[in-house]
Amino acid sequence: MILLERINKKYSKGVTAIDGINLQISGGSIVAIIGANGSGKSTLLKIIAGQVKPSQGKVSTFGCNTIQPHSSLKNKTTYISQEKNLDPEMTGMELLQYFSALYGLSGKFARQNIMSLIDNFSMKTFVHRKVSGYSGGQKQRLHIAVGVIHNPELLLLDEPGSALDPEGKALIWNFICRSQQQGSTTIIVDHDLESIRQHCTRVILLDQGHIIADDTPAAIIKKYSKPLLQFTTQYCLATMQPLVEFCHKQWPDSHLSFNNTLTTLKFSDISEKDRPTIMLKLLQFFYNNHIVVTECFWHQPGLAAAYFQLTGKKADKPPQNQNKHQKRTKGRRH
Amino acid sequence: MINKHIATFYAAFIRTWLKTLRRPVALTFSLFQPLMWMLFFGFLFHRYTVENMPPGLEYLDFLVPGICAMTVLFGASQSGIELIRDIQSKFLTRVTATPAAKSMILGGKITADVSRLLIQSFIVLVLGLALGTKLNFSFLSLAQMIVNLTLFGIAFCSLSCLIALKAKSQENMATFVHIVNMPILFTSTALVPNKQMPEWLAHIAHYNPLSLVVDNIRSSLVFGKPVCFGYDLMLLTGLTGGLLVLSVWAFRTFYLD
Repeated sequence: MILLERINKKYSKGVTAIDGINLQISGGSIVAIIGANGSGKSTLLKIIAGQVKPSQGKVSTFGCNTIQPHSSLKNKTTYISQEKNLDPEMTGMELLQYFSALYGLSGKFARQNIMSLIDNFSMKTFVHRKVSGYSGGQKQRLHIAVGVIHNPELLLLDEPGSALDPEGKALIWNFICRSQQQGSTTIIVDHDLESIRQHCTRVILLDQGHIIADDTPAAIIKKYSKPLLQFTTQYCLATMQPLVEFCHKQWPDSHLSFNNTLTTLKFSDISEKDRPTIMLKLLQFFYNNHIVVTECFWHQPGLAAAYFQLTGKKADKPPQNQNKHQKRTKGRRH
Repeated sequence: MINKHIATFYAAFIRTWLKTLRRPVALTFSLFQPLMWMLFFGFLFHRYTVENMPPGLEYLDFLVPGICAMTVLFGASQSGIELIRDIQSKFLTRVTATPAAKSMILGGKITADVSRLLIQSFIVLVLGLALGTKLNFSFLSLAQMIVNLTLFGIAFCSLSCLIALKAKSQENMATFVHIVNMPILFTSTALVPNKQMPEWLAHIAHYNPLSLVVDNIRSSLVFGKPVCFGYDLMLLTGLTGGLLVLSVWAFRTFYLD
């Protein structure tokens, strides 16, 4: 459905945003493009949308050239930018009606479609007010609703979750999933890695204009995020030399770190079937040394950990799904 | 297909009117400005004798058609400002991403602007009557006024939109408005008859489109001599058509900019 061949994009100041990307995206999928700021995500999305002309390469969507899109292609696709380009002097309803007319929708169908969007994005309470009086989240909901008014087959969304509260984000993701069930394809640029892990069928990780990972979220997590064995004890074990020596002897490539009563043993690679044995050995060690363990569990870090692993960047904050009070401590190498 | 074009045209027309009505200050000022001109110029040059005027007619009678056309000129030259706002807020990028015919979007907008300017011109005419202006109303004179002002309005709205689409900034647009409006007004027969101008200025006034419009309206509405729809109208139609085509071209190619 979408085909990108040897795409390059250089901006006038010599900055290379996209460097030789080849990509094929099939219909009915939800694809996330992730990466650091300036990695080329938005540029790639704009190139697919036909909003930015590539310096080199060929882009086709539904078999059509996107550089000078035909009206049939415009009817099938939508690009929802980061900027909320709405007219502040109009009401939400007037904008929905205006764009409905521009997409050639009329009569009862147009009215029903507008009502359905108002319902889907929970806009009933503010849709008759002028946009200038909307909050950031309300503007964002309307911005997306206007963009999908023609029920496009391809949704290109650039950070749709920005400025949205959790309810708003859930509405957007519900809409994306419903669209997928009806056969639509979504390509989304977003930083909410947990939502991406839950909803997307494919993740493309960009770094300095290159694709450095392209797979399902589960496959990326499995491949690039390291499993952790975590256990909570009654007191901090950081000074317990026998534990350090035991771990070093048993699993030389493991990495031990401490955060108060929580101890984390990180493995570079470990198979599913070895996990119970490792846990059993460790519990045996604690039993022999009269250490009371209140909790012991395996934790597979999410997409964020894989992201940091792949990009070589370090997190200022701990990855999601972890205790927010936990800090990365300088662990000893065994 | 035709229904889609009509719907697009109507949507753009309604949007322009909505935005006009939601700016009452700008709307009032655009009406107040020509009224001020009429009052100040009318009374300032009250004793000014216009040559070859039929008996009983005064400078204010001569002036009213000029102020009507000036209302259209000043209002039409502001037409592109709305496009600048749409360009700067990137709303226009969103509009051009739809499959709607751009000629219909621009057509709807220009039609709304011209209809507003025609209403304003009629209000000026009514205010002129209230000040004691003597006008010859007939179906033909009114038809001639509407046709001339409509064509002139379309021409200058198109020019303003063309400049807006190319200039893309409020500052450049303001420069255009000031550079174009005043010379066009003062080198035309809107305020002074051709025969009472210096010879060099009279030559310029002869080729000024504002003179063309004002002379036609004045001839029918003040002097009671309707001009047949001939050479003048062809010139005006040609100018209007040319500027309209150029503005549609600018709008269609805006996407690639």
